[in-house]
Formats: sequence, structure tokens, C-alpha cells
Amino acid sequence: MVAAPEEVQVAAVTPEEEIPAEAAVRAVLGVNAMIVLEDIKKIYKMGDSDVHALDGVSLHIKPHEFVAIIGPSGSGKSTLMNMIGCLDVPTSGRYWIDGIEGSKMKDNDLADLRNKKLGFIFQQYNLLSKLSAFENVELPLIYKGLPMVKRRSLAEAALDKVGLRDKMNHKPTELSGGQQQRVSIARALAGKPALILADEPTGALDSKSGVEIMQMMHDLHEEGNTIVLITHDLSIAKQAQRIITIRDGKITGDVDNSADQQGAGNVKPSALDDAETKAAELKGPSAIGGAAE
Amino acid sequence: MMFSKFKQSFKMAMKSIVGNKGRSALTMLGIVIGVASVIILTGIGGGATKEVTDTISEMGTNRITVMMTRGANSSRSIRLKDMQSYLEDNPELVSMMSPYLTAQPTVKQGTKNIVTSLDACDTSYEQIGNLTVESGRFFSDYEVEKRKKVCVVGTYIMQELFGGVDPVGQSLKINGSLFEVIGMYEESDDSTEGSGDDKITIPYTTATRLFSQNINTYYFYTDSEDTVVAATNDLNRYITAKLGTDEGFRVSNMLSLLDSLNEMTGVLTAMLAGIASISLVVGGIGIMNIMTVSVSERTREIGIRKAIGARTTDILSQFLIESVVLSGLGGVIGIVFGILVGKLVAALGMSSATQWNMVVLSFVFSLAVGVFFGLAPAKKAAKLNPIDALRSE
Ligand SMILES: Nc1ncnc2c1ncn2[C@@H]1O[C@H](COP(=O)(O)OP(=O)(O)OP(=O)(O)O)[C@@H](O)[C@H]1O
Ligand SMILES: [Mg+2]
Repeated sequence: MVAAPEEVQVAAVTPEEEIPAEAAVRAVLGVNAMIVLEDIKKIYKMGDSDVHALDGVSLHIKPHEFVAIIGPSGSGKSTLMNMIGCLDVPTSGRYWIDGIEGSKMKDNDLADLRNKKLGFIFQQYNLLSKLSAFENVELPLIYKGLPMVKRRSLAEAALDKVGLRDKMNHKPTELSGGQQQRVSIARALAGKPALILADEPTGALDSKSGVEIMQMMHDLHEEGNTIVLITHDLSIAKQAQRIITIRDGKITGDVDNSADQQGAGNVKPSALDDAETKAAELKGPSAIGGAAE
Repeated sequence: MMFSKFKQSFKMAMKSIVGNKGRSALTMLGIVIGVASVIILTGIGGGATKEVTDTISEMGTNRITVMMTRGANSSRSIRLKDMQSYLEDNPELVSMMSPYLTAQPTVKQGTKNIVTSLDACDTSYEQIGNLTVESGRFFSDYEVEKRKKVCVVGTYIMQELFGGVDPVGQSLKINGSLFEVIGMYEESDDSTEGSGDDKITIPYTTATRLFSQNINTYYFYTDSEDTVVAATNDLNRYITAKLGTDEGFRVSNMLSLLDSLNEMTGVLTAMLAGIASISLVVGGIGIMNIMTVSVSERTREIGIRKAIGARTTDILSQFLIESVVLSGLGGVIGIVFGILVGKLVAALGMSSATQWNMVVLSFVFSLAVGVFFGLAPAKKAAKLNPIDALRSE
């Protein structure tokens, strides 16, 4: 069932076509894909009117890519990440994660998919306050059914990586915001997921901690992880290889940024300016369409 | 694999219980109160029943009373001779018989005199009436036959008439006649006026002459409780035949009295159990409230757990174990507390007997309530989309 990312090849298929996901997808298109979204729509019914949080999003993300998704508040970034992360189900459309079609899966299989393939980093950390840093990092490994010795070594290695091994018995409330976010990063990467999803990981942090967290994201990328990072901050988006712009539930821009990619360490202060005014600097078709609203 | 999953869920549940002491304590409180009150109240009910039963057993459930209700001097009374021959003819039914009469004479010693309750009977009454002589002796067949003026007294008589000194060998006057005190009973009550110790016993032969009264009551004694009912019915038949009527007398036994009293105390116990089950239900509602609130409080936690890969069953087994442990622990504390309070009540002089079937019943009930109300809201939360659970505040 689980194929290595490199082997998975995904096709642009017409939604009506009924295909056995992996094999057919691999056969039709010659591209590797970690994530394939196809005409994903998410509609919230609010009384009489419908809110189109996602309005027909199609997207391919390759293994080892570092993708930033940027857009103004309410544009549908989080909704998109929740779809990719199988935390929510789309109103219509199909999607594949690492060759597995999420749109066809049952509750328990989605839980296993999240557990084995995905690592989440949330803006609000989402750590369990009653558990220590170590126990938080260990939790996904418990649900994975790993034996204790294995869990311990993986969790300690992950905490080591984020530089918090000495704080592993602290409760989240005994840690700073930046440290808590590092614990949540350790939790996301402990199970060696295929894909790391980060929704505004620096949103609740001061700029210094933000820089630290971004440095960690770069390190993870260099180690070969696929990363999807959501932000409304252009200076952060510019650190990614690829910048996808979203507005009103639609993708309005998709730019290869690998030439201009900035490391976390060398972000100039000017880059911390308002994303909207800097948006024009982005090359490519309709970069942040209608930004001057 | 199954076991290690269970072990993990168990560990997680324990962490959650210990990590939320206030909430855990509140949840248990409902069960503790419910279980304890069932145990205490049914204990008191059971104690009352036991007290009544014990008192009657003490009086003797092996005893049959034949009583002439038309007055002892009526010509339609059964004769002593008939009763004696019944005893001789029916050894398989009855083993002892004593004529009996009672009076309230004035008893005098020196200048002091009191009114006490007098029993007049045969020697067999020492056993039929379950009497224990502590000092001296009970009167003998010879003394009964010769209408001797001898008496056995209770400890109240000793206190009042003999200044607390053992009266055996002394004498006193009953309605003016001089009697020798040949024995004194063991204290059965508290040696006060009107208590079980305020009594005096003399041979029935002496009494019929002293009070010029005929015997109106006979006590029969059976060796086994099993023959009490049969002997009662047979005596009824016998006396009816002798008198030519079934009126003017009554044959009764303690067993039938015990039955009707048991019925009464049974109603009392049922009433107390009813009140107790109300408190158990109220306790259950308490658990339900706490569990419902804590699950909605914990919806976010459930969302986080689901986001990082917990299956619905993982969440449910954690909550199930949590509520089993909490209600089980609450039940055990409730049992201990209930039994202790029962002991305290007993120590304060009220009777209390722990009803073990109620202990088991209330424990099982509280466990069921805890598990049901612990699981139902968790089930709802575990089925949420992870993102909806995560968004909840
Ligand atoms: N549960 C919901 N019910 C109704 N509407 C919703 C719900 N969740 C999101 N929306 C709507 O969907 C749209 C996209 O929301 P989303 O959270 O994806 O925005 P975002 O790009 O992440 O914004 P931000 O940068 O502020 O986090 C918004 O208009 C929002 O109001
Ligand atoms: Mg958002």
C-alpha cells in the first residue's frame, strides 16, 4: 500500500474517471508527486449564503519541495492545509497524499495516514498541557504502536534536534512560546513523516524565535523532508523554494523561488514589511491577484 | 499488540486522572456519596431488623403461648392437668411446659417498699424464659410442689431493697407474706425501674394461693424451631376439643410474631433503600454533568490526539478506562466510607448492620453509571472531524 515517494507518479485525471488510485495515477503522468489536489472545493453553509473557502484548487507538490502558501487573512490557507493534512474532508474533489487517495478513506485509515505520513506544526502549538515535552513528542509514536524502547530513542532524538533534550521533562506551561513550538516541531518529525505541514508556525512568536523556528524548517528541508508552510508574511514565504499564492479560495500564483531563496539567517529587516506591498516583487503570472484592493 | 495498546490506553488514562485532580475528585464525589449513602441507610434498616429479630430470638422463638382470654376463673378454662397430659403425650412436639401468671405486687424489705412485676411459673420456666441466675439458684420441683415461699429477684430489687448487696439468703415481703430470696438474676438491662431487671419470680403454686388466682397462661417449649408451627396447630386442636369451642383462648408463637415484624422492618428497609437509590441516582447525574463538561472541555485535546494519529477507538478506550477507574475508585471509597459511618452509627448506640448485597449492588450500579456517562459524551467527541475538535475552545 505504502509506496516510497519516488515511485509514485500522479496523473491529471478527470474527476469523473474511476481509477484505482496509485497504479493508474502513476501510469498516466510521468511526474513524482507528494501531494496531488484535484479541483478541491470546500463550501461552508452559513445560513442562506455559501462560503467558498476553497474554490476549485488543483495542486502538485513534489517530494523534497519546500513550498510556502501565502495569502491574506481569510483567503483559505488554513482550510487548504487542513485538506492536505486530512484533518478535514473537502466538499468535492479528490486528493492523494504520497500516492494514497485520501478522499476515499475512512476515519480510522485517515488517522493512520496522519500518523504515518504527516507531521503538523500549528500556530498555537497544540501541545497537551498535562503532558511533559517528552510525553508530547512520544504521543504520535504511541498511536503508531511502537515499543517503548524505540519510542524513547526516537522522541529523544527529535528533542535533541530541536535542542530541548535538557527540557524534556518540562510541561508546556514551563516553556517559552518558542520552546513550545520547538516541542511541537519535535513531535511532528519524531515519527519521520513524509510530509511536514506548518500553519503559520512563527505567527505567535517574536521575530528572534521566529528566525530560530525558520532555521529549523530549513534544516529539516535540507535533511530531505517535504515541507508545506503557510504564512501571510512575505519575508517568510521568500525563504521557500516555491511560493503559491492563494486568494478567495483560488490559487492565483505559483512561483519558482529557488533562485531567490533566502536562508532564515539572512532575512533583511526590510523583508519583514507588509506582505501586500511586497507582493508586486513576486515574478510570475498574476502574483497575488488584486492585491491593491 | 492488543495488550500493549491496552497498557498504553491505561497509562494515558491514569496520566489524565492524576493530571486533573480536581476534576477527578469531583467525578468520584458523586459516586462516593451515592454508594456510601446506600450502604449507610440500608445498614441502618438492616440493623433495625436485626435488633427486632434478636430481641425476639432472645425471648425464644421456640416458645408457644397458650392464653385464656376469658379470664382465668372462667369455667371454660383449660385445666392444668390437661396441659400436663398434653406435654406427656406429645414428646415429639413439645419438650417443656410451665404454667404462668403475672402480678404487680408490693414488695417490702424493712421500711422500703416498691411495686414490681412478678412472674409465677414452674421450674422449667428458667429455660423457657431464657433466665440466667447469677447468684444463688432457681427454685426446685420440691419447692414448687410444697408451695414454698421462695423467690428469685432481679438486680433492681437488690439495688432498691438491699442497698446493692447480694440479697441471697435474705428475706422480703410480697403483699405481706414473708419470702426467702434464694437467687438473683444476672443483670439483663440497666438495673433501673421498669427495666428487665425490675422483676421477681416465685413458684406458680405459691402464687395461685397468694393472689387467689387461677393460671391463665401456659408456656410450651419445643426443642426445635421446626415443630413450633405444628405444635401450635396441634395445641389449638387439642384445646378446642377439650373446651368444646375454639373461642376464649389463643395459642400463639414468636415465629408468627417475628414474621409480621419482619414484614414491617422489611418495609422500613425498602423505604431507606428507596431514599438511598435516589441519592445514587443524584450521584449519577453528578457524574454525568462532570463527564459531559470535561469532555467538551477536552474536545480540543481529542482534536490534537486525532490530528497526530489517534483512532476513534484509541480515544474511546482511554475515556472508557478513565471512567472505569474513576467510578471504580469512587465506589471503593464509597464502600469504605459507608462501612465506617455504619460502624460510627453503631458506636453511637444505634444499630447498623452492613447489607453486603446492597454494597455489591450499589458498586455495580455506580460503575455502570460512571462508565455510561463517561463514554457517551466521549463517543460524540471522538467522532468529530479532527479540525472541528481542534477549533473548539
Ligand atoms: N468552520 C467554518 N465555518 C464557516 N466558515 C469558515 C469555517 N472555517 C473557515 N471558514 C471560512 O473560510 C474562509 C477561509 O478560512 P481560512 O481559515 O482557511 O483562512 P486563512 O487563509 O487561514 O486565514 P488566516 O490567515 O486569518 O488564518 C474564511 O472566509 C472563513 O471565514
Ligand atoms: Mg489560518
